[in-house]
Amino acid sequence: MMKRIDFSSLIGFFVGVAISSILVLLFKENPGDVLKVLSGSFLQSKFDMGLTMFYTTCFAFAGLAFSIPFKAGLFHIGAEGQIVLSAMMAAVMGIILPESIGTFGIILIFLATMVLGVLSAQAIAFFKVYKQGHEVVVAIMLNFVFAAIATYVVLQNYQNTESQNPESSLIKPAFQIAKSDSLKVFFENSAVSSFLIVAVISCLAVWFFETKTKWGLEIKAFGENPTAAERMGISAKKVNFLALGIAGFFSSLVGLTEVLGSTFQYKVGFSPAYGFLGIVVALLAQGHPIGILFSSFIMAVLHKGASDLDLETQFLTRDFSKVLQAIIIFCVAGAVYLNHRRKKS
Amino acid sequence: MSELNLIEFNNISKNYGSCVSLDQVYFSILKNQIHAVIGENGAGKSTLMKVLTGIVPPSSGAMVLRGKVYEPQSAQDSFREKIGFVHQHFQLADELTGWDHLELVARTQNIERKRLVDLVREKQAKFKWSLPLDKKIKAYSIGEQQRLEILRVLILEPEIIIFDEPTAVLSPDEIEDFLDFMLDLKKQGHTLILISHKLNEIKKVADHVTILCRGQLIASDSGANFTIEQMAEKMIGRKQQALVQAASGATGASYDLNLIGLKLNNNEILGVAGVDGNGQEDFVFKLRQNIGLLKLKFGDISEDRYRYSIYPKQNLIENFLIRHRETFTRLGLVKKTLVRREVEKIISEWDVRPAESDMIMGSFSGGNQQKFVIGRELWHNPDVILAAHPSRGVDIGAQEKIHQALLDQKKNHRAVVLLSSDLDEVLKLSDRFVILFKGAIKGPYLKGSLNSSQISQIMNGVDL
Repeated sequence: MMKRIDFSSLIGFFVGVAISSILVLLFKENPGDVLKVLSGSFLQSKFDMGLTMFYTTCFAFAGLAFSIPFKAGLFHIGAEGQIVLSAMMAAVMGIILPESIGTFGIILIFLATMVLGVLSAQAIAFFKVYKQGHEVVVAIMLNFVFAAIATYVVLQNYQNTESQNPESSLIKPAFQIAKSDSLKVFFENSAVSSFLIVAVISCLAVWFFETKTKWGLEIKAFGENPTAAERMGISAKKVNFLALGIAGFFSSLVGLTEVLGSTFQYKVGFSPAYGFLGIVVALLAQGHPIGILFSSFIMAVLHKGASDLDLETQFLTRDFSKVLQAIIIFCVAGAVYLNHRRKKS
Repeated sequence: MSELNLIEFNNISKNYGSCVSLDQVYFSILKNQIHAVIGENGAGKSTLMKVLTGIVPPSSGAMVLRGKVYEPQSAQDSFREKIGFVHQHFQLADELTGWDHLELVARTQNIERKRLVDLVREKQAKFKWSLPLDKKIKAYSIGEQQRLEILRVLILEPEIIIFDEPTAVLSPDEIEDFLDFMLDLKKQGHTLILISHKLNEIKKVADHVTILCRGQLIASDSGANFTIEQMAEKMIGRKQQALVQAASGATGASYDLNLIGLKLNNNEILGVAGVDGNGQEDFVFKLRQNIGLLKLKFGDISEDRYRYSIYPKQNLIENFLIRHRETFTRLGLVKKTLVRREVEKIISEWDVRPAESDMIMGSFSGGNQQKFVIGRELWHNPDVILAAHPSRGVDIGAQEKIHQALLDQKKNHRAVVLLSSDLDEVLKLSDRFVILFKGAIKGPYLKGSLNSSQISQIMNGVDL
């Protein structure tokens, strides 16, 4: 018997859309119109498309940050904190490094941000391996800790004096490379940048990593049967630090996409919970790295559409659009879960 | 049709895709008998029981129960028809107490709490059991877990009880008790269906024997009409082969096991006997530790396949690759094409069925999983082989093959440590053996130096 393609998440997706439509009817709105806004708002202009591509980029990285630890049997919900912390690092480096070092400065920003991303994720592994903490509890708490650190550092030292919003000043012009990015220019200076290409390559690379490399196989084996994996000489320590380290790496890429690719500054609260939406993206794709590319696009379209709902409709607010998203997510997760149970019995 | 026919199978067939699992099987089960269904792995025994209990529908054919057409749609239907199923792998939750498990059953079947208490007391008294029902499952011995499984079925007061490989996990004493228990159940009017490989046990208790081979009915007749040898031949479709013992060659290297000065020669099988739970875990742990220190190549046929040897959701290639990953890795990349060839060699050498290297491990039957694991663990010509319960839950044909493979390893100057709770297996294969009792290692004893009553005394802690 060959593996068959599993459509359960797609079915769940459509069920979720159907339930949301009923809810919309109760609010005296036309579900057809709402669906049109939700699914079509990204097509309105090149700028809107660019914004959707930007969301796709962030969701894809966040999805990878969840899916790799998930393969190792870890439920990693700490990406949000790592994203915020690494974005702070990127912004701070972009502000304090002298412009005279040019390209070298950009490399330094990347390196510093990635290292911080990796370490901040491995903090979870540290508590899990050495202190027997549960990764979910540790990650939730670190999310708050990291967000607080980032906000404190930025507002105390690098607050943009020309703005009343809590945000850092812009990074030095020499580091704002994405300004002349051809993708960005094509999409009318939208938020999208060449990080989109990095995201596509990342998904392919992760697919390669999971199927063709020793470490990838070790992570998968450990996630499925830890006792057997340890008996075969795969160390739990190594798997935890490796899987979460990679996750932290992808979290840091979300931060870089935001700061170097889009806003060129750190805005407090810039993330619409990328880290948590990444969980949905990964589950929607059932952990398949190529699937994550597609599911992050679907989520991006929804996300973009949802933010337009309160402009385009009379009764629906932005908060309500979150309810719609939640229903769809719930149905997808439910369908996947039910399908697993059916297969087991 | 005789009135005594409790269940009739009329030409039951079951196909999974193009794979025929049951082919026109027909026989009947008489009331108040112990009816054994035997056959190799993949012969269709489990499928037949799944059909009977409504877990899977038959592709064609019909069943008659108590003279009426019987078409179960789900396991619930079979409960209602008073059919109970004691599974091979216990389906118990470690963190719950025995009582919790019983209450769960009672709740789904609408048995009131008071009635449940009475039922449990009555059943325990009947069989002189005293299960610690307020303790968590993890404090239960294997034998107690099985009793709880059985009790769970008994409180539904089934007329027909199916036992799937019930003695696979029990020690010799417990097996005797269990066989008596089955006879007891029969005396009280139950009809029992016993699925097993252990022919000597079947010979002892079964009134009627049905033999399946590759989905087809080979024979169904009164147990008195078969000898053990005849049953074995019919099951595997050929005569059993005698084991070829190697002449012990000159001693080469010997490994210091560092377990109270136990040395292991590279041309012997060292048996480790003892009732489960007498320090086997610790023994294996120390053995592995010392082999690691000596940097020897190790063939690890582990004591618990599900826990230590397989990844059920990954296919055979990945299951092989993860074990021998160092051999097939260059610069961190694995070479899957080379692996496929090796896996296919193991599949044909060990007759793993179905011969699909891309099928996930969990879809194979237990016996085929075990064959693959053994093939994998012997693939790299290890210096020292641990064979812990190597033939637990596998059929005679495979058992024969496994035993021969262990003897061949010995001939090829490998050291084999054979740990088994099946005393016959230890005595049959090993050159020397030790006995574990409460963590202590007694022996080693040379083959044939003790008679069976001496051995059982040592197993029970008497110092000779």
